[in-house]
Amino acid sequence: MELEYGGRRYPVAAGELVIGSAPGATLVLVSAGIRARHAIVRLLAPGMAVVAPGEPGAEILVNGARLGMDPTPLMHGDKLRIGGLEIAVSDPDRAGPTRVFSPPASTPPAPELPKARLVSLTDGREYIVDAVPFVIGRDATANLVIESDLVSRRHAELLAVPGGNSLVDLSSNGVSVNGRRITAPVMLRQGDVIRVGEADFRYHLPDVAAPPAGAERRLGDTIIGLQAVRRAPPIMDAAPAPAATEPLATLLVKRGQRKGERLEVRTPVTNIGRGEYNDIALPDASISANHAKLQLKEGIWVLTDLGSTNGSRVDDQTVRGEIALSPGAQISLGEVTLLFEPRDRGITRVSGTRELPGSAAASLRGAAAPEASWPRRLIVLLLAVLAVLLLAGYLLLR
Amino acid sequence: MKISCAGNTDVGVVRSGNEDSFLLNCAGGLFIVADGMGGHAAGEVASEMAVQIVAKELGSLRGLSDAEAASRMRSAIRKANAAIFDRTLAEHDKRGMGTTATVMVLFSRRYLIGQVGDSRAYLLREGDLLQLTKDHSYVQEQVDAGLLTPEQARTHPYSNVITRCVGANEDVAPDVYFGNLERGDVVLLASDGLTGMLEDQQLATIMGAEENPETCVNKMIADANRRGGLDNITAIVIRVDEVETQNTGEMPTAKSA
Repeated sequence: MELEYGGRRYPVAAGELVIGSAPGATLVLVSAGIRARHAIVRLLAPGMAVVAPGEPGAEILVNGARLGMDPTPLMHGDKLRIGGLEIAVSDPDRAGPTRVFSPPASTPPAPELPKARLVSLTDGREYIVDAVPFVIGRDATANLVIESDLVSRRHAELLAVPGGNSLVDLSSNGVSVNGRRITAPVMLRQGDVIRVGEADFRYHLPDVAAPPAGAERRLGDTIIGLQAVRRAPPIMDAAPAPAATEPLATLLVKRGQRKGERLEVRTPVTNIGRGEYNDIALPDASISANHAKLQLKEGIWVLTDLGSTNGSRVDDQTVRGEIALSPGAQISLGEVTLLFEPRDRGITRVSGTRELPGSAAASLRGAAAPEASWPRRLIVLLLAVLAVLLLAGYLLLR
Repeated sequence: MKISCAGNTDVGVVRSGNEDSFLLNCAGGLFIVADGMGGHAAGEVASEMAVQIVAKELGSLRGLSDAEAASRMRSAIRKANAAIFDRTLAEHDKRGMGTTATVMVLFSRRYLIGQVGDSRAYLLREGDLLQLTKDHSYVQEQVDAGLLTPEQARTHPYSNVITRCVGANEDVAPDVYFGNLERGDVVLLASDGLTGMLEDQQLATIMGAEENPETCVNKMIADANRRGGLDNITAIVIRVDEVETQNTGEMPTAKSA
């Protein structure tokens, strides 16, 4: 490790290197605002140094970023700025093995697209991530060429993903992000340091705006569906105003984050889950993205578990397949408990026995019960007639 | 009418191919955006066919009444539908292909739009953004029926389902819209790769701020990409610089008329 200032090199040896205006400092800088002991550079291990302010209020910028009081690692290629003077950090062992190669543009990048940059901490050069994928490797066709035996021909790739880039390791020797070797593709964040072979690059991402809610689904593969509902002819220029319809049912949250809230079920098929695209989205960690489906089937509300991780229960009975819901049923999805209150008239009353939570079939059995008593009624009737006849005969014969 | 216009298409950030096609005929006053669908590059074929056939079939609308122009528009889109549908039957790898089509023709001070699918036409007039077309989509129908709010529609699981499409069935019923243009109006035709990534308010801001249609188009595409560019992005921007005070009877001609 060395510091370079005014054409001179100052090796960072074991112990402290003091930068300041005091005559005893290793690197004496005289300028307005420079303190006696302005900055202290310490070598922790060969090639690893940290910098920290020597006294409170001493301003140090590393690559334009202002430092706090904590020691900050210095990397090859970093620029220190103290009192308007620039000091370069270099490591002679690691100078200059990178160069950029721009392959013939097969897919020209879109204009004005904000591009991520990789800044070499070896020589300070910048590489714009303007190809998809952006290949880092030893091969001359890579977008960023690193000439080193430790680097594979196609060592790593940066892919464009919504909100930035992901880094994929293709190499035999591995890729590290912030000192940790990656085992799966990772989403890069502003300021991450990527190490390929012995070269370090800092990843800079210009501010990226997030896509609007639901855009991912909406812009997924378009499906051609059938016309689901007949509707009035389109009215031009009129903003569509949804009719203020009564909810078909409500779910009162009895346990969970939105406790006390009444969630409205407005469609005969209502998806419930953690995913924001659900008709009823419940932001609870115990709930799966697509957890359950509430459906009005031939006048009966049924709940279907959509293969959720933590399961669904109705009145403490685990849902396998689908289960019919009676008014007042307790639905438990993961750790969230909901009280089911249908609003539709004359629908659930058809099968309004308290037995219902078992299944829809239970209600059918219940309805069939009176049919079974017919023979008994007939016997009672016959016995009564017989008794009357016996009584009449007795009276006549007497 | 004096107009300036620009259009562009971009693959976006996520997709590998661009299935959108568009036609920009400023002199003839004809503009088409088509967003194709169907795997194995069939989407590109469908959207390109729709653009070519509609432009050819529309021909000159000179001297036609509104009713006649509307009927010509419908028949042009239906011809494209028939040609694409025939190809889906004849070629195995083209099965399931189809496309949206938003077609705008300008004549004297009027516009005529033919619409199938979920690409859109917007009009910015005195700072207000009006959506001129209505999507043929499952969620739009649910909104119309009062079963979903527009906010719910944006995040609905079926928000990617369209209910009418050029080339998916034997026949198609395009919607047709008419209207008048004023000096200073800005019109946008766009595929859902733009309208799905930017809210109406954001579109209005860019359309209002960028005088030059070309910068406007590029800014919109760049913004959609910045938000993730989840689909192919196509935008056409038309700015009305001047309108005749009297009707000159000038009618547009499509380029291949």
